[in-house]
Amino acid sequence: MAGLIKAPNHYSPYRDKARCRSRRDVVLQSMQRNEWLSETELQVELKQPIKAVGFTVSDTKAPYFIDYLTEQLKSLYPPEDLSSLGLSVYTTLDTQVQMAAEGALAKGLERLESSNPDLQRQAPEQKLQGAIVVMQPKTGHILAMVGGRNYSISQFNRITQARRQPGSAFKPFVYLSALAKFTPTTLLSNDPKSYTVDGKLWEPKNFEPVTEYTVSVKNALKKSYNLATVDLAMKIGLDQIVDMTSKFHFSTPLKPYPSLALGAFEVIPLELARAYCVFAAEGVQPFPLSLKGVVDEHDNILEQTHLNIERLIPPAEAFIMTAMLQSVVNEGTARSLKWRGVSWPVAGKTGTTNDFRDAWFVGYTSDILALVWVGFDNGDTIAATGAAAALPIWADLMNAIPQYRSETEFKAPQGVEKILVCSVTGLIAVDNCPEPAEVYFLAGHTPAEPCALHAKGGIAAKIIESLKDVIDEDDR
Amino acid sequence: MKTRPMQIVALVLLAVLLAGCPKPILKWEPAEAEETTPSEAAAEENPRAAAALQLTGQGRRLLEERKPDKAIHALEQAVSLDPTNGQNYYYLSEAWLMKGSAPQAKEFNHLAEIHLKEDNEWMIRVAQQADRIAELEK
Repeated sequence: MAGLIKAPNHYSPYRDKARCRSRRDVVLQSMQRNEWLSETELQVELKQPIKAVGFTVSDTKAPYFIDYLTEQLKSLYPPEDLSSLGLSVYTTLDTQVQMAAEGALAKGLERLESSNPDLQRQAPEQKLQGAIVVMQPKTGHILAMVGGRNYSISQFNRITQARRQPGSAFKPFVYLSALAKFTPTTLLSNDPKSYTVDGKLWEPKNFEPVTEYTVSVKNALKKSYNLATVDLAMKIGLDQIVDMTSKFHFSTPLKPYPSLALGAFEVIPLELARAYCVFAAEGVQPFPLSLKGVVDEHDNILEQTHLNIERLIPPAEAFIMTAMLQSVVNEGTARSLKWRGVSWPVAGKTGTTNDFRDAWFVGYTSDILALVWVGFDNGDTIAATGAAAALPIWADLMNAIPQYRSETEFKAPQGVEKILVCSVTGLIAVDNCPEPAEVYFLAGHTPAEPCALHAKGGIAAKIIESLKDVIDEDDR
Repeated sequence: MKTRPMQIVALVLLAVLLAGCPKPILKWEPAEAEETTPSEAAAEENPRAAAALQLTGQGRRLLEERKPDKAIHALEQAVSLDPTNGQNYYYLSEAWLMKGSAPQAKEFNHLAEIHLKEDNEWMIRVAQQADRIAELEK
């Protein structure tokens, strides 16, 4: 230990055992010269091999976050200044959230491996991976970042460095692009269709066969129907979707192909989380912040980062998206959150890519947002959906940090209207409409007509009246 | 000195006329009625929001002392503890105005408008602030 102090990295036994031994011998000989060791003891000690305790790359808290932060600091200060100037670095990291995220990911991945032995791998570097980022949507503060399962084995940060297909987790940006022309109750075709892309035939499919051949915009997102989403994308125009998504600062290329609607283009997970912040933060996108400030040893502020926000979409549009994403959680593909102890208002979206290579869940309340990704680095199938693999990890994380969520309802801004509509026609509900539902619309985009199908004298009403007559006849 | 009746009438008229004039909007004046010290009960119920309120008060005082950088530091901490309190965005906008940065002031004014829309008194201040930002942009 005494020998290491001079140059810990240079004399590290993990780097060069011979150099480390020679340095140790220098120290032992010095001890003998100072009569702290006898000649016999010296000879015994010199024959001892160098034994190092178990190797861990770092016991730093939040190592992936620290790496990410260090990269930013390197652009401000030379590495030697960072290690020698006695700077205090203030970060956005919240250690409680970080611990909860690390715990939820470890538990979730172990649970998946034990429930499906096919996911188990012997080689540590090939094991099932996962990643989490937790942000404050209104400030962009990164509260926690888990870039992988084990930093000692892999320092690759899957939140900031990975490029993965988002699958259905990308769909909200398609639906957002449609809000100018379509309402949550506009009907879409959910029928199988084929498209020609670069001279090749492309036939998207729903995750499982369905009998709903016509479906509303809201229900298509809620149930994550692929066919209806592609139908919507083609109606809006793919260029329009690319234009809209380019506002969200994705650095990876997004091209106007029909498969864009289903999340076929890779994204960086941190950028996807940042994009979802817009829905949670009334249409404002924050710049993701990890560094708050740098202070020197005399308490002088050397650097101070500020909230950096940009208005991307109107608050009303952000709220309509949140209302639709809340229905994903309440009644759609993420409804299992309710059974996992999540009883407060949450909006979110699941995502699963082809052959189950990626599983996603991005969920948020009005004050916290978390993205969870699960997959193999080599693209092997994980044989599980976003709802089965990523969502339980999200739920475990949120249940562990009750003090960080306000549990209040999302507030409707000016410019939206709530209307009771017929669940079949999407028109203003009348007395006979089955299961009428309250739906939020952009102001001026509400349905103008009452439901004709179930109105008195309407076709459905006539059928019901006829059936009543038949039953009455029989009773007599 | 003896005051003539005509002088009194003129003074009263002047006072009435001035009272009817809109207040100058280019200068920010801290509102007296703002209560930013959390009660013990509130602090116990939601310690994060209570701590945020204290920081809001600190930020406001720093603005009164015309220390926008320190105010921004306190107010950003307040926002990170309680992002739903629109007053923090209003004061942040004020701080950026003080620093002469209209684009940042504008974004925070917009957020203040969203979060304070149910409070008429605050909405008047937010609207006046928007006017001052527009003045700065000219």
